[in-house]
Amino acid sequence: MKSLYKILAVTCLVLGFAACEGEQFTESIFVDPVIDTTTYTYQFDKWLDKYYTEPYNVEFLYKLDDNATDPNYNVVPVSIGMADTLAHLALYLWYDVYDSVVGPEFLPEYGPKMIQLIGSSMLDPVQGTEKLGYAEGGIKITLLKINEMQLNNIDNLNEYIFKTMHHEFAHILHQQKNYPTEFAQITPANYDPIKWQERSNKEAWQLGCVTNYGSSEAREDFVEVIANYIVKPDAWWDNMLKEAGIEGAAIINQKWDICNTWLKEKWEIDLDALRDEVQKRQQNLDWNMIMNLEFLNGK
Amino acid sequence: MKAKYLVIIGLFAATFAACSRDEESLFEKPAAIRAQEAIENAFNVFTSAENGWEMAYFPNLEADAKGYNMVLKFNKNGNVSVTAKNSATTMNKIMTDTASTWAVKSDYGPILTFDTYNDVFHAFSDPKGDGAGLLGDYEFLILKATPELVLLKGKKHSAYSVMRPMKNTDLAAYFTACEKMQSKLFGNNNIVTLTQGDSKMYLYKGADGQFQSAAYGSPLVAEAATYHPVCSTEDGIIVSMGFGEDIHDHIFYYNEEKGELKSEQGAVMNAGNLNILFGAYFTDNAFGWAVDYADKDVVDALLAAVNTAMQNTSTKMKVMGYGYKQSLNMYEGGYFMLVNFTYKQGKKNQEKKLLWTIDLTQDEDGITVANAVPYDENTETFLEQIPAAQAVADLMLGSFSAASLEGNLFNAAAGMKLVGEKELVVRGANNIKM
Repeated sequence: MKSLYKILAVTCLVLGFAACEGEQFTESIFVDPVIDTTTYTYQFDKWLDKYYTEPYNVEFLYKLDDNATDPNYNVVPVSIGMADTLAHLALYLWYDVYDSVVGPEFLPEYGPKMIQLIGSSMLDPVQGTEKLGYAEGGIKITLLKINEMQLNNIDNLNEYIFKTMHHEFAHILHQQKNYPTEFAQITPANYDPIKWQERSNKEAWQLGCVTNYGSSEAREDFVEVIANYIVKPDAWWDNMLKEAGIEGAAIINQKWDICNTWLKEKWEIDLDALRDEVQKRQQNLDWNMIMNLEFLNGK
Repeated sequence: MKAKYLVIIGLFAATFAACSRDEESLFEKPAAIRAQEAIENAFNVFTSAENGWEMAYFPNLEADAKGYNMVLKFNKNGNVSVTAKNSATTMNKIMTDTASTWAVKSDYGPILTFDTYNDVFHAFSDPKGDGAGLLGDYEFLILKATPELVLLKGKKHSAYSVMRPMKNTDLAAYFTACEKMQSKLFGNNNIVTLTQGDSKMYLYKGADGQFQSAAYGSPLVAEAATYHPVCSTEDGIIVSMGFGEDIHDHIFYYNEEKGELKSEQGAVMNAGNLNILFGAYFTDNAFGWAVDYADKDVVDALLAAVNTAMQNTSTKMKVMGYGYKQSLNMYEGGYFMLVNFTYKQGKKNQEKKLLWTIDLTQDEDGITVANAVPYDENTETFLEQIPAAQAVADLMLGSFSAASLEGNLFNAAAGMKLVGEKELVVRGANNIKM
């Protein structure tokens, strides 16, 4: 009898769905993903397809979709001109560096699948903080404050753009392969995710963190070590270690060792070689060369 | 066992009943198709305006929100040019940016997005400095899109903005015309009576790009005010939100002959009953009336007497000439009359401020000003020395009926006549200070 109930129940279900059949689907409403040749941005979109999407399997998002931003902040889109400049700069100081130092197969496989640009930063006037970028799920990097790039100010570019690129990319890497748990155990009591901004960089150095933001939490500390080591010149790094004092410098060096080893063992990345290449390129910001992609040597 | 059979039969019945196809769909087409059609319609509307669109842009509805004029030209290739002239973002110069993009996309309804930065347009939404900026939007819900009118609502900050096809092809002439309208309608900080059906209310502070509203016939108390951003146009004004329940009654056309602004829904803004309005001005501390008299001979005679008295009572004062300004205002909850005597003492220009409290009452039929009582010791001392000066204050006393001066039907604050046994002319004046 129980079997009969089961058969009847299944029959009811089948009849139920069959009775509701009848909707006819019409042709797709979705736009063909092929780049539209009639659009105002066709040339730039074609360029992005050639230099980012095809070789690196990455979507370069410069037209802002408000749904893709954090609703807690007010932001504005990036200008087309600044997006174009940043796209060239990222090729020069990031993508082509990895191609040269780590190998051309690395970024297509492990690099972000989406790079989103936003014109402004995300300011929190209550906390007194300014977000310059963020990485999500190991696949997406958002770079902020692009409209305010000062193209003739290397310190500004270093602090707000170059460092952010490498900071967020380091997040992408550890979101795919965890960083060593021992890193977080070095200075756990010094992390303050709420009031880190009240510390000066020098105070952070003495606590064994390379920046005050790095003293907010372990994962930020981890990527700050990598990003600052890559983009900051020798003089900055040496001064930081000196100002950190013996104890602070020892902690920072210990953290650097972990980062260096992790990059080498997990990713086969030579941190010093990466740094040398980035530093060399940062010291040669020839905009004509960059915008004409001469550094690619016809690639 | 019977119960089990009943359950089976019930299940069969419910299965077929649930799938009955007798119900007709509310819509002729599936939701996705309707959404796509709405997007295409909006796109066609935006690109249809040959001269572009006039936009009355309202960044937000905060207490300090204002309305701004912009002109937008949407191109079919996704490019948009935006022109504006205002003090907030363009330093009062005409500024155009042609190098950005727009699109209509689907979200919860069709959305107009300005998705790459435009120096002119995004200046309102740029959070520079404090994380908020002017709280503008760059994505808008499209509430209405016809070739004659587009109605948008900011997705984040929720203010309504209004677009109409541009008639004027000369952008400089357009912005000049808007400024002239602003000056004509609100140049004197006038108070406007809004009549909408059976209800009336006062609107004021239009010169600031933002009406404040107050109950009709009541004091203009800031705490009770609500705010309505307003934008002057070539042919009148546009408000972000209409009044009362008609929140989408946005456009008011100016009729020079009638001296009124009239909306498409029939709401009217004008001076209203001048007797009532005259009283309302006294509750606006930033505003007063400067009085000049139609009967100059009377005033001259009185001032001559005052002048004579001054010379007779002070050996130190040798008056070489005199001027005179009388005003009415309210300070700290009471009505005051202020008389400024200016005179020459030797080679120096001197000024004497005399203050009287007055009783002022008004209703729809008239205004009564009574009991000019010296307010302070300075005034009392002066009047003891020159009793004739009291007659200058008494000139203002009496019962009057207010009427518009010719040519100022809309803007009562520019001036009105008070007609009683004598006729006074009063003109609006800002910043009359005690």
